Amino acid sequence: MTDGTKIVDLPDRETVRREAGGWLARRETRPLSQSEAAEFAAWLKQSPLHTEEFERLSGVWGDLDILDELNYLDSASESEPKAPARFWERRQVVSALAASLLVLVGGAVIYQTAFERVPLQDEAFATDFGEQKTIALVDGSSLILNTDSEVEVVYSRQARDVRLVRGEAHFEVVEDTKRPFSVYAGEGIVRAVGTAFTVRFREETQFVEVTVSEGRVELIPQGSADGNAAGASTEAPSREPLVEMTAGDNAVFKQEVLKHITELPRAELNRKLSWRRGLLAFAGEPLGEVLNEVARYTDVDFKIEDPAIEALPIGGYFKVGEVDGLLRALEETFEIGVERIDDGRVRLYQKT
Amino acid sequence: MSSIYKAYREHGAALKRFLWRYYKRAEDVEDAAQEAFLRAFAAEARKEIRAPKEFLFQTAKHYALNDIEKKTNSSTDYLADFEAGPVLQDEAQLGADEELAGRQKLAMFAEAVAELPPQCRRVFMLRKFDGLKVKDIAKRLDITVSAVEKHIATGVIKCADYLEERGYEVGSAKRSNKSRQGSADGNAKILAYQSDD
Repeated sequence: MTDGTKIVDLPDRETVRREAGGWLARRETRPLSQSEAAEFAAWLKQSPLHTEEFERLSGVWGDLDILDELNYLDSASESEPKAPARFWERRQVVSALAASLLVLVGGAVIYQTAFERVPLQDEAFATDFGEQKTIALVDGSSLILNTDSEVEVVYSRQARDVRLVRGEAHFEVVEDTKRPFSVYAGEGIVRAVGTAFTVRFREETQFVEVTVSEGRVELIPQGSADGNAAGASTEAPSREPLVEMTAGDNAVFKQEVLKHITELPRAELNRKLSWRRGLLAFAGEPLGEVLNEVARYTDVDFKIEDPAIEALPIGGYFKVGEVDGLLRALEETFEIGVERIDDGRVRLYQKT
Repeated sequence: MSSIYKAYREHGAALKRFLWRYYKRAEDVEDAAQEAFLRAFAAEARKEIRAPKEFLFQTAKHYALNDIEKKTNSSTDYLADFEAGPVLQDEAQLGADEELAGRQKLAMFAEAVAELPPQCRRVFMLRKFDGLKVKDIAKRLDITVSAVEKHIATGVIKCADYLEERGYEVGSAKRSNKSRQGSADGNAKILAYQSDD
């Protein structure tokens, strides 16, 4: 090379893309060490192309989440039964998880005998603002606890009872006809045999919202008088079910009052359940409602200054707990003024 | 390449000819062929398909019969599937994400993954379709976590190449229409960044 000429390596896309793929995969599989994080930050800054390629691959990787929708294709049209295989596979994973949980919690879990296994459990779980937890239960069922939520799990020989003390949880229940699985929330009971569903307890109104993604569940009114702890009623609830729900149904009830029950279009169902993937999805809900929803995941208070923007329809996905991302989107896309008063308060107003 | 996808590519024309038995309109035939591919592809991720072509045709037949029955039973369902009301965000964006065009997008992504080499494809399906954690994927496939990492690295590049060849560009909408666009799009980027942590 000629002396005195500065040779600047022009980054070629293919190389940069390969490196970007490496970083993405590394970040996806494990947390970066401190020095790696610094190295990554420096790599990103090397050229706009580096940033662009990383963003592009991240976009593709994120968009691949769409493959989850393959799970919701109506399987009625399938020529070979796929449900059992899938169920079995899933159960394997869950029970592997459950087994590791067993080791961890030790004393809380007792197995009766090696053959007639009736796993018992008596435990409480809770999450903070913005936190979500997946919990493997001893029978192979699992639950995902949404933000600011609490459950008590009481498994006896006759029943699998879970009390949703507050918040929201999604349940995937392994079938066991001998031991019904019941979720107690407010003054209602949601009972399932083997299925997947989400229960949200709205403390303000005491209404219980249930969304069924697989199988069937029954909604049963419960007198508030007969003890609120899940363990208080080991015998099966004697009351008649209010209604039976099937996959795709969404219902809101309290005691004997069934506020509504509707079958949701698939897109709407996916949206309702998107929190399990750490996403909040909106499709035209008014800003006021959107912020109420977001507020569940953070201790930041939102104040809408301008009634005119309160009804503004908002659409899009937001990462749970990523309040900054949401505010940025509101500011850039919807042209709403955002002012942080302090750590705990944000003011929103109409930009003029 | 996935054997179902291979069958779909090789016998796509025959599949559509076959579907004309059930439909009268070309777009219905196209849709049904795509739906059959997606269903067969999903099934393939969970079990071995010995006769991919036969399976694909069988799936298509079942889908078509079911579809016809559904359409005759409910002519009102269609309206209910759409949300009313204006959304500030570009309609196309939302549509692209979840509603109508979502199916096209799903098919395109399914095809991108279907083209990956077998082990790489398994990693992608276990991660994105079954939602398994990396650690569990490694266990399931009996490979190391760093092998999973390698599959993700090469696979995501292949997918990006494939999608770009077909004109899909991440964030392209944002560049073309900055002011109204973006929430889903811009956030998708933010998401992609942060979802890994």
